[in-house]
Amino acid sequence: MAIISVRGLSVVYGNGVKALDSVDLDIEEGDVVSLIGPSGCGKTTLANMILGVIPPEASVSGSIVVSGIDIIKDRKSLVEKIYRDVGVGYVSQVDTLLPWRTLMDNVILPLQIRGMTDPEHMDRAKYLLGLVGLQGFENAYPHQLSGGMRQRAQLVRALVTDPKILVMDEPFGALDALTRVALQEHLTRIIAETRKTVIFITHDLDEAITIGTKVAVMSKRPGRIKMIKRIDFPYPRDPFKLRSSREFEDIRSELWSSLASEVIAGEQG
Amino acid sequence: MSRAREALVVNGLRILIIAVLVALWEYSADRYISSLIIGKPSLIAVKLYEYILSDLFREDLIFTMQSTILGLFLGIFGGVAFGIIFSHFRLFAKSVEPIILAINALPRPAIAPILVIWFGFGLLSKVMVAFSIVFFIAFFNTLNGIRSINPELLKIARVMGASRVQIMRYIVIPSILSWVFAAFKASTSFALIGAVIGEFVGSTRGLGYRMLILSGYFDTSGVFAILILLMILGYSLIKISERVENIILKWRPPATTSLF
Repeated sequence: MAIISVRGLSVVYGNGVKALDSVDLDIEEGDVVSLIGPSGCGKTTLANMILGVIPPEASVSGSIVVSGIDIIKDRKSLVEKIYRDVGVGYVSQVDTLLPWRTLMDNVILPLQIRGMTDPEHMDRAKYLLGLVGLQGFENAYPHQLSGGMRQRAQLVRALVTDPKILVMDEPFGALDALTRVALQEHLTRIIAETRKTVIFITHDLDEAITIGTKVAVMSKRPGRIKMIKRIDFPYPRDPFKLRSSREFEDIRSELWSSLASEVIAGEQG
Repeated sequence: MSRAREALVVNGLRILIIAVLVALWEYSADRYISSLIIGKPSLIAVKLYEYILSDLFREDLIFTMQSTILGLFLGIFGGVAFGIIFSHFRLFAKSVEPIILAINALPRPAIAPILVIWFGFGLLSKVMVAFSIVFFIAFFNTLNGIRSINPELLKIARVMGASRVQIMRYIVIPSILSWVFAAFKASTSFALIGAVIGEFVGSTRGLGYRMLILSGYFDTSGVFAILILLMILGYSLIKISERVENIILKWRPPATTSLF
């Protein structure tokens, strides 16, 4: 059974903008779904819906079932239950580390919130920091770290409670090209190690293919899922090697033509 | 120039400038202008010495410091608390906002007389004058702190499963405190100003009160002696609050550009 099941999801914002139009998407446990589409197509709206962050003035129809809990129907009462029981980790594009906390204190914030600051979980935080190459920076404040380091710290923070689902909204969007590729490599290693179900939003096609076991292409606004492509490269993946391979090229051109028609259509609309 | 050398030169220049000014002052007093008007450094020194050795000094100093510090802390606490309540009730906030702006527009010395009528000639009226200034600084900084919270931070906290109380504790309060402590230094100066104004309007002791009495006797050198004490007190309070600010806000990035 799918861990996340989106059925006929439509979202119209208070200002009349239709963000999503009858989206259907099934995500199996262990899937890494890269969500790609033209800007403004509703990728972030879809991620927010899955996170249970639903703007109060929006009108929403359809259903999102996460681990058997209907997020739309049970909005208030059960969304908290999802966060606590299933566990959803979230990494956003903007820097959301708390500037007044050290790196370590930032990373363990979800543990403090859930009262899980036992030695076992604290060790897990240290282990994850090591996994992304941040050991030795535990006592640094965010302003002392580079953008790439802060983004890695956000990733660790999202993983520290061992959630089943990880939602990443253009997590590497604000980084330079080299740092991006390095972090993509880190991420595939972490996915291989922790076996999460991941929703990875990006506007970079190479990144989408490098990260995902599936790439879902969204249409221009109002967004629908236009096509889903399986990507079968084994984890962990080496972004540099991968990108020079023949199969990568083929997948890339297939997805690109699907995406390009949306971009052009998007400009005309 | 090396750092140590520069510090030596700067300190030397400072002492020189002060020495020249004091010497000029001493020379001109009673020679060109009456010391009744401009005072006289040697006389000021004597007055200062006599005053510091008297029991009055201890009493006055403690009184002024008490009203300053009490006004400072009550003002910050009250301003933050009211700011948080204010931001939680939108309709209430909208209705009350012009009233608060109007009260804050009042020149604070102008409300000191009414505060003395209400709270008497003792400590409380001085605390209230200091409070009335600091409260608004803390209040407006609290509002700014709450308004400038990154909505992504709140979203992250919610996704982590944080309750309202936890969002308050881990996100909102620290954001507010960073704003309030950024104005801590200014608040300290204003608290001292408030305390002295309160003493001017009606008091039985305190440094400001003592100065008023001395000026009534045309004891210009005595007035200067108190001014020097107030300057030292104000300066020490600013330096202490700078320390406190730096400890509490040690996570802030250091300023990278300097004018000099």
